[in-house]
Amino acid sequence: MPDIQISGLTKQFGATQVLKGLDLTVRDGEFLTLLGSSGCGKSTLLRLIAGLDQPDAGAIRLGERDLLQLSPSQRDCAMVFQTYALYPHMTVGENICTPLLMRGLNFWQRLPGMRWLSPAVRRKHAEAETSARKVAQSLGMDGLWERKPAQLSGGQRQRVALARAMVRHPSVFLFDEPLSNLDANLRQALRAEIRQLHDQLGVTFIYVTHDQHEAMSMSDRVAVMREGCVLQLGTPDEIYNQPAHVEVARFVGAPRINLLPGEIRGNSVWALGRQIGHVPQGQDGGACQIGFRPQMGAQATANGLEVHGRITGVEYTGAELIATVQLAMSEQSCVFCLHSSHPDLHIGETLRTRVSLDQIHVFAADGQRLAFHPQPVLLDAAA
Amino acid sequence: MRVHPLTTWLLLSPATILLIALLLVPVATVAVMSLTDWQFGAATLNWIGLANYAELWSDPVFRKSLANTLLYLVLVTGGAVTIGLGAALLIESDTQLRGFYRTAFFMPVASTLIAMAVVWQFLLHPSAGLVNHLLQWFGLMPQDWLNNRRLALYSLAAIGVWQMSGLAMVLFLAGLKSIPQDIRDAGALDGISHPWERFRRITWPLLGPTTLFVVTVCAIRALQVFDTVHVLTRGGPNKSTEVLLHTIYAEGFSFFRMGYASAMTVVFIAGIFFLTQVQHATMERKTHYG
Repeated sequence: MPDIQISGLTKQFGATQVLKGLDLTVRDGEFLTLLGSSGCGKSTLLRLIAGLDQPDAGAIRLGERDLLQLSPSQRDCAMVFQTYALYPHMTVGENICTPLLMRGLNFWQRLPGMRWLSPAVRRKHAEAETSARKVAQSLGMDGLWERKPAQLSGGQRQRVALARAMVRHPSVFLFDEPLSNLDANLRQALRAEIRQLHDQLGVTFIYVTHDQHEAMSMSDRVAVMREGCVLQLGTPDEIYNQPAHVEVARFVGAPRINLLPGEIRGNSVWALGRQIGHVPQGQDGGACQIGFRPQMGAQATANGLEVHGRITGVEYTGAELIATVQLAMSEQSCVFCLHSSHPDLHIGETLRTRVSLDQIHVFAADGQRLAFHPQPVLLDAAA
Repeated sequence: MRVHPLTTWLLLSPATILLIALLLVPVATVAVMSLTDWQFGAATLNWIGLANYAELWSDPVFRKSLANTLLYLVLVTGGAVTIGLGAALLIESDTQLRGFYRTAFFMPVASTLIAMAVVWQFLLHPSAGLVNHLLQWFGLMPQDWLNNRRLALYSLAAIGVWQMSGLAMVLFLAGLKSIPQDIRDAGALDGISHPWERFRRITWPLLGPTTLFVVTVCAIRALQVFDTVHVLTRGGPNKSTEVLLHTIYAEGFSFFRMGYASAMTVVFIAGIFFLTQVQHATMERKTHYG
């Protein structure tokens, strides 16, 4: 199957422009996550791919086929909703059979009672039930066949929804925050199950979430969205270690990345009163932001940017200590994750550590990442 | 905190006293009266046991009245549910003028039926009425809507439908609003896209609890029909529009047979009670899709 190509996609609801000329290519068979905070347009994008809404401009193509010309049921997409969206008046079995029967039977064959009149219809029903049962069994749902959705737990309901999506072997699965209504343990378990399912089926999964852990742990690639645009599209590793935009850096990673004001003079970068490295020639001088992950402050490193300040908060999480530090040389606070065996830290004490220059990201004033070459040896402030 | 038992009773007393004085005592009185031959204004009364009920059983007027009431109930409930649901679906499918249609359809519910009955009397007037004028304009025979033995009950039922469908519509609109968009979307992806399929497989089943509720509400209201009958036909012609409440009223306050009227009232209350129980059961069923 070819890739899904989305180009120039625009969607407006009233006065709000939800998608602003979005471009995205979804590769065949990949697990792509659309990650972003609420209102960034990720669910809208998913609904446009599914055909539940029509875009104002732009195109969605599957190879040569123009998906926008097709109705939702012709697009060969199945969708799993946050609210499960099971048919509450049907049993589990009927829910799973519905997509097969709606496809396999024509209008007249679907009329009530046709099952008793026509052997062909009866055979279709039997076939649908056989394949539906097979799918239900593969998800461990065979004992619940006769139940109504109201009699199921949240996790079971979402499995039924998965079964209903799987039963017609679609070439694209769309997930709209499918785990948001479940408790933490179940979420973890289903996360692994969905990932396994992807490896088994080998078809394209497009997964919408605002939960960075889900995005990072499940996806082949993540598209970080903000205000109707894709800020960065890359593997979880790229997203975390080479954020293309300061907003990506801010959104991914917990605790949040530390950002400090810096300055570009010529092609050298200055922060906390020191020259810490270079950016390529041709950049505008002026303000920039430097960022480093809280986890990076814990590493002992010789060639590092020294930071120190007064501890204003300590959080113990078991594996680590999260210390908030009011920097001495700047107005800013920084957060550091330290190993929990770290010597006692108390509020009011001074924490002194070094941030490895290799771990520093530099973002231009407009938020874009700048290629950064750290100083081989950090020069003194006075120099 | 411990609450003194007396405090409990003191706090409960206003509601209890009102309930007893306004509801239980009158119903009990009617029930007791139905076992006597008391005439309105009479000084004495005799205990006659179940004789009133035996008479009811064989009374052609009561039987006719009961049959008319049930026919009226079926016609009005069926008509109001059909029109109410149709109007609700049409209003819900388009955002324009939604408020206007809702108000227009709901107006008859809010208006006084006695006053409206007079308007209907004009509309249905055999010679001057607008309805007959329209019929003639289309080349059809004019009818004497309220004085024709075969038509009168249907005319009253039509007025009943006119009055009740607004209520049904408002309830159905609320029911339609409560159907989650996600389920319709899931249906669209599963191939439930034809409007008829969507109605049959999603909208109608999910409206089930609403429909049961609307049916019972309309049935209870239809059972209580009195104003239009009293103003427009007085049960005639030839008892063809005699309904329970009107028969009770006539027996009690025209013929002064209070004992007999009480027996009818007991039957009437039993009917209402039964429908109310159905309604309660359906209200509880509402949560079952949860």
